[in-house]
Amino acid sequence: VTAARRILLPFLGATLSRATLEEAVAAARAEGAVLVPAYLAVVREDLSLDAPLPRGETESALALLELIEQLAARSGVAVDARIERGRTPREALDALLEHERHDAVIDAGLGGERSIANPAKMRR
Amino acid sequence: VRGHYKIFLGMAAGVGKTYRMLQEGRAEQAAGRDVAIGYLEPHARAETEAQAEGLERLPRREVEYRGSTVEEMDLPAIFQRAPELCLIDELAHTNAPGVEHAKRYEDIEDVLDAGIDVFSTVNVQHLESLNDRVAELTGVRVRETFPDSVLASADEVVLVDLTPEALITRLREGKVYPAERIPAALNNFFRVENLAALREVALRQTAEEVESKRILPAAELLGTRDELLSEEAPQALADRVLALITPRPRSQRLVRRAWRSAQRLGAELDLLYVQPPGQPPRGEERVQLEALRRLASVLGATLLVEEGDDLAETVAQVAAERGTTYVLIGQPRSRTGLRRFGESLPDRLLRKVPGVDVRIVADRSRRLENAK
Repeated sequence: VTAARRILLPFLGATLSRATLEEAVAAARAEGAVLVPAYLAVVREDLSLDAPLPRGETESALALLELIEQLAARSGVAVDARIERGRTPREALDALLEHERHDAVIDAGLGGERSIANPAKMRR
Repeated sequence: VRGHYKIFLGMAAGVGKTYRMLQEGRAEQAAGRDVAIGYLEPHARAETEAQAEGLERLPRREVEYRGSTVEEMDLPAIFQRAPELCLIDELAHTNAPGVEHAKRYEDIEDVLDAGIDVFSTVNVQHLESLNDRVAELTGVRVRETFPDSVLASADEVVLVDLTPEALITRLREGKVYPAERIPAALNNFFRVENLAALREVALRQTAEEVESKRILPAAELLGTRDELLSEEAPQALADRVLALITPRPRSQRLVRRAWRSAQRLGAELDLLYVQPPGQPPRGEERVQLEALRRLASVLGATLLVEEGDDLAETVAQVAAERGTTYVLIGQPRSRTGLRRFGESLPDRLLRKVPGVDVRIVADRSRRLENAK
């Protein structure tokens, strides 16, 4: 059995545009892939990296993931959402890439221009 | 001493929240209390304006914003006037930049901290935890939200209720919006099915608030009378949510829903995976379980993995140990998943863990598929 391709869509709180999401959904749909929207939570230096996220931030993240799931489901795209923490967005992204297999990453502005990248090339 | 906080909650504009707030404000004034209106949004409604007559209105202040002048509540003026009771409409309002706080509910906190009682109003769709649900039900997402903790911190929450039909009649009679806005309102937000759904949400929310406030005095009573009862009381008083998960992607959503329920209840959240004996998750299941473990950590939940042949039996055992008051389960993928050996899982759970509420979380992707 071949596992479905996984397309990672990492985003920070307010960086995900509808256009980016629609492109990601279209890409996942075209490939029959699972879309992995991932909220990258940046944890302040004075807080433990293992501590639960502040409630307000968690609510925002969950609301966004919920919305993404709705939109993806309408297009028939399977979703497997994530939240990942790090001291920086880059660190959270690295943790995501470390923890699970992803076949493509949609660079939604984290690394400059929006594009689909090879996860191996995005690792530091 | 912090002021007394009373919130008039409604399902939608036009149910009469502001009217009721003013009516009670007038009654307080008639009883000899010093009452002033801090901010009133009458929406040019004649009935509301009439209720405001005879109540002192504190001046608003003008704030320059994006090249125009907007009127905001004058917080310093309230402190200076310092009435016993201040009526402040629409607590979810977002202030123009340049005043003390971004949101009016934050202004209200200051007023309460100054020892002034506050009556305020809000519609249920502004509640943060219900924002998604309401958007899903009505197709309309409101941008001005307020934290659930505001409602929880209120001393009193009064539901101003009206049937959808009665509200639509009020709308048609021009008692809610001016004539030119009525057709659009009727075609969009003010439809019977929308209003019925919002009414249900408002009723449920108020019931939960009432329940949580009703329990606290009981705790004090138990602690002072019977030693045996008082020993049992803490378990019965603190809500605790248990969500049954499987190592599958859809459990991510179940956990998110469970977290939201737990937040609304002020409860701790446990996640339970009942693993078949001797069959630890492998491959993709292991990856999914680890992802759920990380989500639990992010949300401050506790993930438990227990071996068991009998799901309901294992849940009952864990629920007893953890003091669970709510069990959330996902929507089974098939009929056989829901009903085995002649009794459904929810029925078995209700039988095995009496007194514990069991909720089924809908699988949104399936619902959307079916709706196509």
